[in-house]
Amino acid sequence: MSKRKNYLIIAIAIVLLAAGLIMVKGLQDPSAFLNVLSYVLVGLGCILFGRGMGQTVSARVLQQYPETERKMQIERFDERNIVIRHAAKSKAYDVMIYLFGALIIAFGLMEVGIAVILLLLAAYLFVLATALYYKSKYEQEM
Amino acid sequence: MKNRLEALRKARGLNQEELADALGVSRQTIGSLENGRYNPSILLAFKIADFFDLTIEEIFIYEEESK
Repeated sequence: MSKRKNYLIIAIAIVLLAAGLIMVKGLQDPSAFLNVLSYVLVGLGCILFGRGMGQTVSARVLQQYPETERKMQIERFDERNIVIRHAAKSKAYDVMIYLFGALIIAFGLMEVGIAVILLLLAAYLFVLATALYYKSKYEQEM
Repeated sequence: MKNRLEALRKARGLNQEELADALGVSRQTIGSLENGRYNPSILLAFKIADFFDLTIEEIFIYEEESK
C-alpha cells in the first residue's frame, strides 16, 4: 500500500474518531440512532487508525531491511501461496453458504422477528449475487 | 506431474532456498514442486526452464492422470 494511501487512512480515522468523541461528549440527550452512530464512528476510527499506523510503521521499519522486505514480497506474491489463499477462501465461502442457510432456518424457528430474518436473507442473497456477478465477469475475461 | 527439478537443482549445486531466490518464489514452493504436490503455472514453468536453459518438456513429464 502506498504511503499516501496510509496517510489518507490515518487522516480519515482521526476525523471519524474526533467526530465520534465529540458526539459522545457533546450531544445532550441524543436519540438512540445518534448514540449508536457516535460509538460506531469511534470504533471505525480506532480500527482505521490502527490499520493505517500499523502499515506506516511496518513500511518505515522495512525500509531499513530491504532484504526482509524482498522476502516478504516473495511470500506475498508466491503463486503457490496465492493458490492456497484462494482455495481456503473458496472453502470458507462454501461453509458460509451452509451457515447462512442454517442461521436463517434457526432464526425462523426461534421467531426472532421478520426484520432480522429479512436482513439476513438480503445478506445471503447479496453474497450469492456477488458470486454470480464475478463468475460472469471472469467468464468474459478469461 | 513428475519433474526433474530436484536432480537439476542438485546438479547445479543449489539448495532449495537459493533456487527459490533465483526464481522469486518461496522455498516451500520449490519443495512442493520437487515432491510433485504442486504443479506450477505456465509462467513459473517457463521461468524454471529458462533458469536451467532447458525446455519445459525436458523438466516436467506429463502423465495422464488416472481417474
